[in-house]
Amino acid sequence: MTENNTTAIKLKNITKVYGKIVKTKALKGINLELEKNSFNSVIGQSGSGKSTMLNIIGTLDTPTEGDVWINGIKTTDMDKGELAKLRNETIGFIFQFHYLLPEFTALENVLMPYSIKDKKLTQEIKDRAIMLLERVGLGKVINNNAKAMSGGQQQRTAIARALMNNPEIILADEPTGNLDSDTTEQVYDLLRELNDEFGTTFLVITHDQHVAEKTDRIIELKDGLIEMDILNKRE
Amino acid sequence: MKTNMSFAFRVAKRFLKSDKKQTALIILGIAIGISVQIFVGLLIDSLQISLVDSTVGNSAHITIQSNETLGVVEDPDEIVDDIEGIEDIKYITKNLQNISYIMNFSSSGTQILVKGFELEGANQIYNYYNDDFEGSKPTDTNEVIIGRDLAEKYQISIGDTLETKKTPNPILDSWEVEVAGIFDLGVASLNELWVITNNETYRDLYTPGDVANSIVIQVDKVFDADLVAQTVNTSISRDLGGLEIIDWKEQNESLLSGLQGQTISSVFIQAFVLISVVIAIASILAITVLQKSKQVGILKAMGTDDVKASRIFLYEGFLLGLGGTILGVSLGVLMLWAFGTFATDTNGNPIIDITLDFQFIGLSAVIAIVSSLLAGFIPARKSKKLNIIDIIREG
Repeated sequence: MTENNTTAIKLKNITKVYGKIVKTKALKGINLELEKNSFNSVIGQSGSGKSTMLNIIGTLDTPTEGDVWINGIKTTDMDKGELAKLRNETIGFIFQFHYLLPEFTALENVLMPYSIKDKKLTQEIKDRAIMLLERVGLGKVINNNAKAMSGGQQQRTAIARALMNNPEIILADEPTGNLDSDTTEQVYDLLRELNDEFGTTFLVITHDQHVAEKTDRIIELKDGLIEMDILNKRE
Repeated sequence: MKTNMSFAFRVAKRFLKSDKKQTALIILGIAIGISVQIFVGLLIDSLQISLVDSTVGNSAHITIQSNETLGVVEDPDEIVDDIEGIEDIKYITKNLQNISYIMNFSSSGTQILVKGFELEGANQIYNYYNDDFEGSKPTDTNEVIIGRDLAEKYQISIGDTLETKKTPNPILDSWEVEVAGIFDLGVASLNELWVITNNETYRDLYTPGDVANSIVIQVDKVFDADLVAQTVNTSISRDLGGLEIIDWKEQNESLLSGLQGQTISSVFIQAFVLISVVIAIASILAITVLQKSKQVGILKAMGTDDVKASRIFLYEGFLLGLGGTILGVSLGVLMLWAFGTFATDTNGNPIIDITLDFQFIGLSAVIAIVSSLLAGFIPARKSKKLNIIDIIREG
């Protein structure tokens, strides 16, 4: 089923219920379409369903009801292997807890999404990883072990990693949640630049109103429903 | 990162390398298990080999003889021709023997058993020309070699002449033989009874015709003697009426059942050691999966499928097993060497002659590595079940 080819993400009547005995409805029917190349933010109080929605879009979780399309392809019909491939090729994740693999260096971590494919690691690919690390300001620490880097450095490495396979969509769940305000500013400026540079679609969860105001579209969730959805076009 | 290894293998290797102490400890644990298994297996093997060797090493494994008490095998060369080509047969010799008496020391005579051999051929079985042999090999007719116990009992020396008779009857003629050498078979009764001479001398003395008292066979694999005996049976073209084919296993049933019991208990010990090694690897790897659940979660989020994720732990199991096996085999061989060198009797001879059976070592190594691989399946399954969302939520 193919959707409008300017749509990157489409959600139709998404609900999510947790628990078997005591049922908690985290999402109560979300309908949403995000344009390609757009920079979107999701705000809302904790427990409003932001992360649940993001995880469902990212195929890390499945909805109880409803369907999800990524680039016009319905993911709710795909098997686990197909979903893994889709995540690898189409979606980049940035989490609040950066989740680098501490056993590997910054460069190896950035190369990871490519290495998973078991394809030959060419100089071109390596150069791209180095370019991305330079782009996030880590050109000098590419061979540092992930454990030996600061929180900000690790988060920026995770951003470079999310971009490695040139994904069309980047999903970020409070990517600056545990960073100081200066670093937060830097990271968002960087994401914005990357959005302009690579044409990547961004969906970023944040609790920072200031950050949200810098995005093209702000979606607010409340109690598992979209409370507010406003376009915030840049000048 | 190198490009020629699979992704799962590289991750497995890095996981192991990142916690060197834990990896070393696991490998040591596996190695101790494997070394005990190899030590016990080879020790009992060696014990059996030396036991069997001392029992049947220098004697007949298969004997073809008449089923009558004083019967003979007629035309023995025909039988030898029939069975000579059988692959598992090491040596064949015809055995001629007759009871006689030495008359030098008393009028009633000293009983001996005169054996007529093709001397070089029969030596390959009975090994009388061993390191303890003194004197020279009989070359002329009327030369004999005698056992050490007989020589010592009657103070017979090399070069002495013995007067012998077929029965100690005073009216019978006696004949003289010269002692060319003294052998030591390590068995007192044989050393006292056997007087060995060549075929020609024997035939001169006893004129037996074209017969042998028995045909004696040694085989390559002593434990296959019964099977070879069956082949011998079917290979003899002549009607076997009046002949019987006996193998050493028939004659040593109690020894065999003892050996069999020992083998079974050895196999049991080895199996239990191996099982405990497998369980140890499986449980350690299962804990590793928990330790690495965050990494597995993020790898899956990035698009690692379940098969690849579980392969990481299979490779970990394989690498740990490989390391443990290499170290374990070395330790096991070292322990055997130490046992062979330091566990000695009062004369300084090793209690057991250690035989290093490389086939056994190789097989043990393969089993250990395969077991480690199997042990990896449990954590591999566990990693498959790891839910990304649970890991992401826990933070």
